Amino acid sequence: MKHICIANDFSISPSGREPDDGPFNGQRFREELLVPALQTNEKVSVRIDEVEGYGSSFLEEAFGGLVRQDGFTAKQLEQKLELVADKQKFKIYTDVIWYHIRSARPEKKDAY
Amino acid sequence: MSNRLRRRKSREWLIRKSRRIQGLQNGKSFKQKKRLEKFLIHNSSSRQSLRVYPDNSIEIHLPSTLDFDANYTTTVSHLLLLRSAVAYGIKIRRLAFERLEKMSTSAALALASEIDQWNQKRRRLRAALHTWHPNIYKIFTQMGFFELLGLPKQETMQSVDGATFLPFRRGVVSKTDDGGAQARLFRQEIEAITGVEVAQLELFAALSEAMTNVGQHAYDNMGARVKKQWWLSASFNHKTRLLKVTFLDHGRTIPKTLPLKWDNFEKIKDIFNTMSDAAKIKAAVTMGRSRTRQAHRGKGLRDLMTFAMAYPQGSLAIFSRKGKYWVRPANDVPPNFDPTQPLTVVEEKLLENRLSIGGTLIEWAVTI
Repeated sequence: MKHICIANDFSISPSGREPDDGPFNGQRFREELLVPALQTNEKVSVRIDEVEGYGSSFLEEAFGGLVRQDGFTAKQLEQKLELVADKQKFKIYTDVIWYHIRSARPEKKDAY
Repeated sequence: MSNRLRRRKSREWLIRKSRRIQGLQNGKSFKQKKRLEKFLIHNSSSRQSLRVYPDNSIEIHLPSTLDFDANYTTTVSHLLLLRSAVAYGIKIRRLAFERLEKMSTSAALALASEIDQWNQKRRRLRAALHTWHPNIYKIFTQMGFFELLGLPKQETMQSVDGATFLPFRRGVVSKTDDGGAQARLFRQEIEAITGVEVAQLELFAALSEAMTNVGQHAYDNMGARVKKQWWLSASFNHKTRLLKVTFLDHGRTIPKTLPLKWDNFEKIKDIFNTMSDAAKIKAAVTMGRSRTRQAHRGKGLRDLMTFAMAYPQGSLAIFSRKGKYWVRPANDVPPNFDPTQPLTVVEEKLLENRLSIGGTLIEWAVTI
């Protein structure tokens, strides 16, 4: 299993949707860390606590973008992706992330 | 002389002055000139606020109170006069602070942003410090105005009527500027002056989305040379424990950039076009906004509510274009980040002003 800690491996203050929004945006996180990990590992664990917080745009682009842009399905991600939050206050984000994944619709025809 | 006649003469005087200024602005478009004239006409309290020198430079006198709640039109007209003078290259000989006695957190940030724009484009303003009201002097010291004006940094001053102002921050939404890091440092500064932990996740969500909104929407179609700038500050009253956080941009405003990515927008287009700016702001916050018809976008404005939700009696005020939307959401614990859940609003007010604020100003007020 591949482990990704957003705070340690990406940024302690991730923000924004696209590259124009700032250096630690959701698209960059998805393209540089999340997608490669999902493509080369059976399971991927993402630790979401220890950061300053999240805006909706970052979370939707980083996780909803897996379905919209990268050909994953919500069902595949339920089997491959694990979200970890030890701190209680971050646990609410797991629901939000799964909401973004399940409500996203593919924009590309190529399926993973 | 009747009041009506006096007002008419005052208006005519301003128009004459504005035309005189405009006469020197070669190469400026007719539209720009008309806009400047409009600002000058609205500039209020009028002839006392503006002095035009023989060399066509101008002197702007700030009013006694700068406050978007208590003195909206006068506050906005003076700030826009300053902005238009900077934009059209009119030489500002002096920005006079002598009459200024009271200034709200939001107005202080707005004034700082205009002076900041001035400094970026032109030369530094002169400041006759001995003429300033002591409270204004203290606020400016705390907010870092002296560095902004290019003057020697003053000693840290005591609070003003129990309130301490944070130094204002300026950011640009771009590929290289880390707005998230600025938001984090800002939160640490707030905790340093308040002495307590603030609702970290909620504050970050709100600021992060405010910045993303600036990057994605606020400066659309304003030209590639226009920087996507924002300004941020806060004040904390040690007596009342009231924390005010203010975020500002000089963009095209929410009502102007709103269409609409709502589903079936065409069907409601006629109704939408008759809505007030305040109603459009409310719609953007509660329903989402999107200009691309992409359902996954445009939900971020809802995050602005979360910081207000984290505290009992917390409120959010958004001034954008001519509208003001004030809302007190239910105090949800934990705050409602879940986009599937409806927002519960305890109280809200919609207000339409005569003048556009010339951007979007967001203010959170919470008691901690």
